[in-house]
Amino acid sequence: MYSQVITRCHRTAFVIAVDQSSSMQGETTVDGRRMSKAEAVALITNSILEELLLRASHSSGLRNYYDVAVIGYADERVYSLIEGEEGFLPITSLAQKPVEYAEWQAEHTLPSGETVRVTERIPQWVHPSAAGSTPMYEMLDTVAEMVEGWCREPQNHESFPPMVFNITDGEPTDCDYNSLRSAASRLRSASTADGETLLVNIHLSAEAKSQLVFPRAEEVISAGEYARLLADISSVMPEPFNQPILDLRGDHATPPFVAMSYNASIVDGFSMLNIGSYSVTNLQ
Amino acid sequence: MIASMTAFRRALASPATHFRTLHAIIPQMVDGVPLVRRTSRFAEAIGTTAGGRQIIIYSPLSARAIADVERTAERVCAIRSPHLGEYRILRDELLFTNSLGESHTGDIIIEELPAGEPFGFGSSQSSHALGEGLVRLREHLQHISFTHNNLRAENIIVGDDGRLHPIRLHYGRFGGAYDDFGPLFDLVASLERAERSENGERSENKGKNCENRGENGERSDVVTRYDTVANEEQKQNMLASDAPSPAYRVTATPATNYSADEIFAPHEGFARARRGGRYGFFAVEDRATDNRFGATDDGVGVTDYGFGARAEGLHVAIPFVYLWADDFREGRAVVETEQGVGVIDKRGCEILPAVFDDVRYDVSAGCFEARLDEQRLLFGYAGEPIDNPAK
Repeated sequence: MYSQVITRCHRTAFVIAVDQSSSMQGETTVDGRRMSKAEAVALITNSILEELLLRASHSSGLRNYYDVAVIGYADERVYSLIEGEEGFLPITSLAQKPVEYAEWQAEHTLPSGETVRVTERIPQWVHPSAAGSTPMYEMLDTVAEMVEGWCREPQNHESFPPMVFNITDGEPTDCDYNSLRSAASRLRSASTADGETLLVNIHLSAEAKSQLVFPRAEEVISAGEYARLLADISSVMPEPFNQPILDLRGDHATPPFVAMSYNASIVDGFSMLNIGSYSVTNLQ
Repeated sequence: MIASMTAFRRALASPATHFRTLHAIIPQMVDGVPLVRRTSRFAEAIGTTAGGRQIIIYSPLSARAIADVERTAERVCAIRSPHLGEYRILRDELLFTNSLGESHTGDIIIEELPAGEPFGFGSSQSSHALGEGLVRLREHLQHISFTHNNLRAENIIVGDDGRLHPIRLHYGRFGGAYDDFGPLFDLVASLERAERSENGERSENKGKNCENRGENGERSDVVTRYDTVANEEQKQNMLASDAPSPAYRVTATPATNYSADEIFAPHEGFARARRGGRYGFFAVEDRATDNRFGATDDGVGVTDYGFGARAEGLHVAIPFVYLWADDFREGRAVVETEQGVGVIDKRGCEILPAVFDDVRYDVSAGCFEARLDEQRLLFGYAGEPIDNPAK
């Protein structure tokens, strides 16, 4: 389980669900910088899309390794954030969309300990937005339908299962917590022969005390009510990812790990996925 | 820590702050951002220049990628082949910030490309010259026992010196006997046909004696020569297929107080090290607290890490006799000698004799997959042959 290499024959799907409710006007700290949660969400979403595009880029061109959907939810609506597209689109189609680049001042620490500001150009498929309520239940319901449909496609039956990234500050307004847990459970149960859908919550908090990736359940207890709720509805990372997660965390924590990050992008985690086929002729 | 491809691309955009020594590189830019692509195991920045030289910079996509090419990099450096360019691992060269805002370093590879032009239809050379160049390259690679494993037009440069230079050497292995020149000779045959067509020549034999390897597959002298030699070698390889049985021999001779050219982070109480071009192991206590060996505070142990490291007071557990050695995992380390690749245990005893072209250790299954010529052989943890090689 969770061992299928992601190739053009065995494609997978990624859904990025973006909370664009008014609470996202609050502040958080990501990449060492204070910014609005809406800006942080856009930054993380665009970083994930950039990483997905790069990981499909070979010298022979872009390889169609996965389908991608970018979903916004706010103001009692769930909608696509990729202009002119509904639902999934192949990564090759995303690459053909016109994209603006924004300049971003990132902090970078030199080996000497000196901190410098570096200007980076970052593609902007998604822009910051924050207005209205937080229909997280409706989002989970909509995404569950999408991934169930994707898993039902015969060509996807053997594939690595879909991954859903929900980027939010964790305050649903359209349901109670039990309903949210049910909706998340339905979403996670959509499966291929290689495993169930992985729901990864990226939680943005106003408190900048700590950043975590793939925490243990106990590590989330002190992180606040919404963080605990998100940990509750997140997938438990499957056993094959335990060692890569330990490498990522840089510690000796004991599994299981929650599919979640706290005030942190999860882009580093893509090195855990077997994206790309072996082109080597006699090595496997 | 493995840098994401996004982090690698951002580092290339600002080399002065993101590389330890490669401050003057100039990446190829597209839409104002560095061009980064990937192969199966590495992200690569092609079209990069450094002091007027063309280089490719590779950043690993997985934790094992660098370890898998260490041996190839060492040998390429040691043999100084006129066909193989500089190919070096630069430890801790990449400086990047991870998702948590923490500063990290990463190993990268730089490969220097010779001045020249692409192989195939982009080349100004005649098909005959390219074919002759392939024959010479094939002979040379056989002479040094190097198999590239992914020879195709984009992995060959036709040098200004007239030689053919394979690139992306991380696909390759020393000690291999696999012939992967076939597609390139097929390409040369296609070039010949295109040249004839351009020149308006018509062969009397056109359409006759075609082989399955190309449409209307006429084969010139040089290509036919290759076909004959390759077929003969394949037959010989099929005959020489007896599996060796494992042998057991103690090789360890402990000594003390060595210095080393390079010491690697310890695994399972052993720190792999390189001294005078040879690999061996220091016995250490696994006390690293930050995944960086050398953080001990009691004066015992390695006092530096990386190149030019000192190993005061350390105990040499396995002497510096190997051309290359991997870290210990579950009590076993893959090693290479002049005779081939094998496996040792923590006493330095041979678990698999160093006679194979390649050995890979499947830690989860506790078995070794060895390659000898065209054969795949499976051995158990103690070196016992496993009957079912198709497993």
